Amino acid sequence: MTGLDVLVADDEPVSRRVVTAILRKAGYDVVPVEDGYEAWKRLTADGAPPIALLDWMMPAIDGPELVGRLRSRDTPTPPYLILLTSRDAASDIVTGLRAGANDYVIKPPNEDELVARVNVGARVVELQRALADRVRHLEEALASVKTLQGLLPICAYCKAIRDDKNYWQRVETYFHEHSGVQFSHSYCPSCYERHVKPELDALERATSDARRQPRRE
Amino acid sequence: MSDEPLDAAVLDRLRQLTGPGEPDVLDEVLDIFRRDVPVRLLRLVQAAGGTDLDTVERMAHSIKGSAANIGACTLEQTSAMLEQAARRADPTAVAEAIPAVQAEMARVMEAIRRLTGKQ
Repeated sequence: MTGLDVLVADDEPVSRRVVTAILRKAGYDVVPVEDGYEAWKRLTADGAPPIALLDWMMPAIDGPELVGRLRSRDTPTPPYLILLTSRDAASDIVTGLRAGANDYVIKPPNEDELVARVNVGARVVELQRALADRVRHLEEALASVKTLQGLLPICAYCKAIRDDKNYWQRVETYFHEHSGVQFSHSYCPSCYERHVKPELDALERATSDARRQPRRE
Repeated sequence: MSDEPLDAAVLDRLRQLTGPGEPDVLDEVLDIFRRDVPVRLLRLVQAAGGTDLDTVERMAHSIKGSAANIGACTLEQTSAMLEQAARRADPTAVAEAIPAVQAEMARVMEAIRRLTGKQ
């Protein structure tokens, strides 16, 4: 549950320093910023922190507006957003949650409560990532299944398959490239009787003949 | 509520946030307060003189937040009253609330000086 980046956006330096210290002690990597615009830049850049604590009142872009803007972006892994609000602004909470915040914390935060709420965010982020990974894997699997659909030209004698570049490939190679299937070679009972057994018998006859007629020097 | 300008329990909790081998969090936080918050009170007083009550409200709100973080409960309360007066756009109440904030700020700064040994 540690090592995740958490952005802390608060223009009030004492509060920013205290929240940063609390989260660092809990094992998070904290990215402190001083206003809503800087927070927006960090949260929309590559490798953005997956969790953000946003102060309600900030210069440039305030907390709820920032939440609204972030929620209007289409991304497979949206950040987990917690609004920081002062005790007497508790009635604003509904507005913040409606704007798309996941949670809120009253300032100044109680250490245990703040860490517990950020831990909830970390769990949500991990689940979201696992889900996004799974969706990606499924999409990849679906794409390779599609390449095995339709009509395949196959040689009636040697069973080679003609691919979309007009090359004839062995059936093993074709299926391996289009599905990831690995072939393990073996033989069925009727092929054993028809092909393998006669070859084995011939081999045995040859070796016993050789033993009966030792080579002369 | 005790007569002390700073709540000792809050200060203890801040000190315990210090990680191994890191500078003392309490010292750092008090240092930030000492350098930052009196400046905001000055801006507040200037804004009140020019009856810019929006700035008064914002400054009072931020002083209140800083005060709450270091356990300066009385400063938190007096600046909360000042913030509310500014929000009501009541210049008389603002003018009456400012001296209480200034007096309490002086006590808090004196307590910080005693704690950190810095001027």
